[in-house]
Amino acid sequence: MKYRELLPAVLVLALRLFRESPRQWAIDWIAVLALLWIALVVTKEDSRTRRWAIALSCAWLTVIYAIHQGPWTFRFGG
Amino acid sequence: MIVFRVLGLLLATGGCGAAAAACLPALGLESRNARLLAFLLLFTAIQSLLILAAGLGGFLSVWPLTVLGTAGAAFLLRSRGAGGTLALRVPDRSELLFVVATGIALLSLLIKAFLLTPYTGDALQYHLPKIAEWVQAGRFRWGTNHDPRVWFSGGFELVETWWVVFLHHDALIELGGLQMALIAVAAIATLAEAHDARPGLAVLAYLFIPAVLLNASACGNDLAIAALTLAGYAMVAGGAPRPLQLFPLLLAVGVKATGGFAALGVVAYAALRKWPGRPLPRPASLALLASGMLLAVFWYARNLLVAGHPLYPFYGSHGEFTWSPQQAGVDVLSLQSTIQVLDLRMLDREPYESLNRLNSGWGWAILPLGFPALLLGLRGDRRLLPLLLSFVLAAGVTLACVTFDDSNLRFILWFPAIFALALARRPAPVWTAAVLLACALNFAATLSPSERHHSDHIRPPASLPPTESVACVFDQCASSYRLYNHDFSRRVFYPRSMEELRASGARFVYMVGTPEWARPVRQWPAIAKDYYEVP
Repeated sequence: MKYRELLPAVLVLALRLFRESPRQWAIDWIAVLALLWIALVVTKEDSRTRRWAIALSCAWLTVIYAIHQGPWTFRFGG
Repeated sequence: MIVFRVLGLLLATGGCGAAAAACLPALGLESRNARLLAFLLLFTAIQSLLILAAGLGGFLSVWPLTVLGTAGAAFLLRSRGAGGTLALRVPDRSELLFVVATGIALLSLLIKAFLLTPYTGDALQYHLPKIAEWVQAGRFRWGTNHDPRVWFSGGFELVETWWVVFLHHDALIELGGLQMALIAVAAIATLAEAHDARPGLAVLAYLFIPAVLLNASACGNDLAIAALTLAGYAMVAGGAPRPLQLFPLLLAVGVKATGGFAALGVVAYAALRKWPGRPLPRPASLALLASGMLLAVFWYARNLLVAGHPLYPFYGSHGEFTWSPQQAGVDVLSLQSTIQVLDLRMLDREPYESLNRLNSGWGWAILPLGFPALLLGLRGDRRLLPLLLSFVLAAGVTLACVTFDDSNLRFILWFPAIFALALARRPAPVWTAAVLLACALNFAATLSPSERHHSDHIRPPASLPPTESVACVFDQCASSYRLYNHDFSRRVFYPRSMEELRASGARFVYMVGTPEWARPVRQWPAIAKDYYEVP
């Protein structure tokens, strides 16, 4: 059952990694969400590992978003 | 005189509010948030019906509307009593921060309403010139010019007209957007209540989305569609009687056809939930449906009568337009193309704009926090799933029915509400802190709308005498609204031949593009770029 839940995320991750160049892997937000999905499936509810996985993915997504929107938000002011 | 005009606006607006409150008890709503939402919807409908009647009857001016608004409210209050109260309560300590932050956002929008003048292309090209013509004439005028989009539905223009007709000035025109932001706030709070989320945090996460903040002060109608669509979802989620669920959707159809596309999602959501089982009394049902139908169907019936087809100018056109402003049908390729660029649009790689050009405009809270929160929410509690599925259906239908272009994500401005709800279901304080930080960034980034600077060049030049009439000549479209002046004191003509231009009596020409017949105008004495004096 658990492995069946993993399938969509693994499929999405594989597709994204195939589609994007290796240089882009680290800043692909869909891949990050797929990894988070995998982490949610393999970790226990309310476990420390899960909390870290969530915190890490949110921080990672924030960095990805900031790379693109940050200059406009902070430099341009709107 | 201005004091009496302001007094007229206050009296008539108060009258609409009193009338809406008088109708409220008949709806039998228990939730405070749902009552507030119903009040705002009724207020908007009454306001729109008054403008509709005045525009058709030729009494679209301050005194008739003041008398009508005040007398109507007095009659309703006399016959039905003071009506329902909104029973707003003092927020407890856990909600105080959210209420204060929401208040700051709404106050900033109110201040912007006073400080900003309309600046976005669509509004300046075809939404607002209609209003200027109506206010000048004291009645509706159809086919203001040969931009085909002037034939689109004008439900939101009715609301905007309310905020300018009393003062005969557009200083408060952005209050229409603020009104829609209030409806969105009440809708999100109602939705959050029904989904065990914190209403205050859900409201914050949605209201502070850059595209929402910018739309509220940009005189566009996409926030109106978002607010009314979310109101439909909220009424379904809150178990309101069926006519009340349908009411905001009818108002949305009257604002823009995209309201009809999004309504499919609300219908699907209603089908996935149990029957509310609380019928309304027949008179209340009939009143809601009749007024909603009138506001929805009016524009399509007008097109049928005036131009021979309800979906004019897409169908029934007699060849007078050189371009089609939308695709006029379902095209799965539009949806497919949007999905293909969605991953890039979500990153907001351009400055935030009300039209979301090349962006989603969903801001710092949605991608970094909202997506993970939604994944978590769906794993922990399947009750969000029907709402998500219906949102996806409505978004898919909408994006398949509109032309794929740089800014088509503005048509689904209601969609990020699902992420706001998911965020508001996270109990840990760290989520709240992160959302507040993201809201602060969104707020700072949208304080001064970047589009405002782009529109500076279309301000009429100082060399143009302020009350002298102008002929606006264009190929496809022109940002002509500013020609009318803030107090609508200038006549603007839209000639389509040299004979019409001469016959208009205008001494100056503003020209965008060069239609074949108007080539000689470019040789006339110029008073500024694109402005010419008629020899």
